[in-house]
Amino acid sequence: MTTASRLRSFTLVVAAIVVAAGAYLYFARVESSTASTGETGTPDRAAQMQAVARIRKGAHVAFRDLTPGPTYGRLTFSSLENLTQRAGTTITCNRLHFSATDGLCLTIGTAPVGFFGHLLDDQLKIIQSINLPGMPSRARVARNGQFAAYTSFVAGDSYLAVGLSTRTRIVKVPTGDDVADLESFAVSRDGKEFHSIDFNFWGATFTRDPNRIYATLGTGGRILLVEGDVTAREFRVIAEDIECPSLSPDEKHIAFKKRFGKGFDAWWQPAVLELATMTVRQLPESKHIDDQIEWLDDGHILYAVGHSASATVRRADIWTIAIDGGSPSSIFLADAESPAVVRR
Amino acid sequence: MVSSILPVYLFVHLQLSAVQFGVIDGLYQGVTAVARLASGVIADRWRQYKLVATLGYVLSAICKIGLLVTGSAWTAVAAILSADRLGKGIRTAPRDALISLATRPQDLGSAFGVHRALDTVGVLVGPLLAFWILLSMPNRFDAIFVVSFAIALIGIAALVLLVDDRRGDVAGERHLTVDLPGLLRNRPFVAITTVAALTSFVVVSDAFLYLLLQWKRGSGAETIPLLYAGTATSYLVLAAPLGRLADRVGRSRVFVIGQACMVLVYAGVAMLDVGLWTLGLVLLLHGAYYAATDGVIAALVSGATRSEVRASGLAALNTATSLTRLASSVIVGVIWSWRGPGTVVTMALFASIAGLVLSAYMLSTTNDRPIETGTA
Repeated sequence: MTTASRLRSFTLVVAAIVVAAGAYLYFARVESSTASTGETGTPDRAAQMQAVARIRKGAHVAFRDLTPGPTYGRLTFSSLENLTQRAGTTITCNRLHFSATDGLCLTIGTAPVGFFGHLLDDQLKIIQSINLPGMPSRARVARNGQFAAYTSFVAGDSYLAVGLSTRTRIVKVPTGDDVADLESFAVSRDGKEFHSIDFNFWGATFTRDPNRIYATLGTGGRILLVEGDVTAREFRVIAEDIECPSLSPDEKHIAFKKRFGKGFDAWWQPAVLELATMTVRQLPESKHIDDQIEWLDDGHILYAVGHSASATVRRADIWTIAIDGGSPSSIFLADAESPAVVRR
Repeated sequence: MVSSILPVYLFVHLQLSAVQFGVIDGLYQGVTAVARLASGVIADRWRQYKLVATLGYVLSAICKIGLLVTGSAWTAVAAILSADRLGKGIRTAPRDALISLATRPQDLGSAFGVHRALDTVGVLVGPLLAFWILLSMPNRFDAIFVVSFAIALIGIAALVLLVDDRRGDVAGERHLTVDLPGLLRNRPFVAITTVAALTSFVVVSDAFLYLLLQWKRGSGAETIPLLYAGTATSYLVLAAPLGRLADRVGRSRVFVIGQACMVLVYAGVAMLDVGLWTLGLVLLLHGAYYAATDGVIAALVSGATRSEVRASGLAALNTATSLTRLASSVIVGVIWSWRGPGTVVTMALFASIAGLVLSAYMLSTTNDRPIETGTA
């Protein structure tokens, strides 16, 4: 082949590839865009926002909608009275949590910054966006709305570099003012000072007094439950093998992720710790969970269970189970994850 | 492009556990080093640089489609990503050999400089594109894989249609033996490779440097991608000019200047308050280190090896440096968790000074002039 004909072939090949890839991008975009609403009789955006406002006046659940289509990944609300009706927003969140007044939405943004935590006010306006140090992991807002806590991975590149280290920070809501990094807390165990450079904190949960929190401390391959004071920056270790705590509204129980199996085959199931006796209760639920558990009420928990994932889509449902262990689990919301229950 | 969103894909999307992620990441980093050596020798043996490089690019391209059709079974994902890195390992040495064989010996530094600069454009633009796709269509990783596949195909098309198949023919005959013992007896080659391996051992990985900068500045890790972008921009701008400078004033000299840049980086981190200006300067020097060493060392090796063992020599260089880099990261990780970042900075500073002195000495004993001048 002559140089000219090689150049011509190359140009043709490139053109064909660009057209094909462009077409794929276009159809993927159409599939996941909101442009197709309206003509199918979907209520318009103003009506959606009104529906959201109406639902948020009563007891409701906020969650990440995973219904395949234009609303995939969006922050969505359902009334606890009528779970079949969903009212969606245009805000995309990977992890979210809400108090009666404020919200925290962890999301993936553009490079080079990458990951954000949006703080939302009562009107779902983004008041502040925090740059996260890595991939979003856990989000919690104190019930009285004073503080929020987020956990994210750090950097998100090679494990050789940083381990799978996580960072958990407490911020004021909705301003986003930095309050504390859990790594700055002094930790004690059995009354003695306890410190190691490999300390990793994740999965904080607030009590009614947002100054008092529980969280997970990972060190030397062990998982510890710590309880502490935000202002005093103190933690004490109160139990072992309690991961990613979530405190019940009556503050009598902590729902957590219990690890089974080892190494590659490890999986996590929901379990409950009774704080008065410090006893762990297994639940008749063997499905694997990843995210922090949420409480529906003092007797029931909610948790997301992923059931299929591919390059195109990730599917998960929110399940519920009674903590007395007397009844099997059932689906609470299909095609949804990251639930946050708000009662007024 | 794919590597930038890989942690998000594996962790947030497929929700693999930390241990599974660790295994995949280890394979991802490790497979390349092993594949490199084999492919270099094979490419020399067959005198088929273009074919072997193309095979490597094709394998990696196919893996993008593999990711598209695999579900969340982590073992399948691990296998595909290993194959992708295998492809990278296969293509690197014959590709560098092609670059060196297509270039006049006195221009090797410039040629590798231009290659590294273009490579860095990809490193900068790829993540931007990937995150843009992810932002405009949440969770559509398929779109990222398809675009990445398309770009890989364009690369393959350019290689197949536009690149002349240089074979470094010696009197036109097919040499079926590769004189590896001869390569090891080649003193300049061994010295250069040793210097390169030593350098990548004493220089801590980017990720650690950025963590050190953050530790020093007391800021959160949120700026790490920006730090990467800063280094890459400096590298991108300086790679070609420094490669050219190396051709003019001597490659060993520029390589040693690069190491001096790294000494300055650690000295800055160790002694100064890292304000915004210092940070900019540190990143500029960090990029200059890459620009003065990465392509230049490939040019040095190319100049010191005969064309029939060129790919093997470049492969040995790559394997040696990636192994010492791995060892360095593991050791730095241990020191970091054992003694903290302060010790890491001090040790890195002294190690890089020692590295600088040793390389200057070892490189001064080798002939800087390309051995094949005049044979082309």
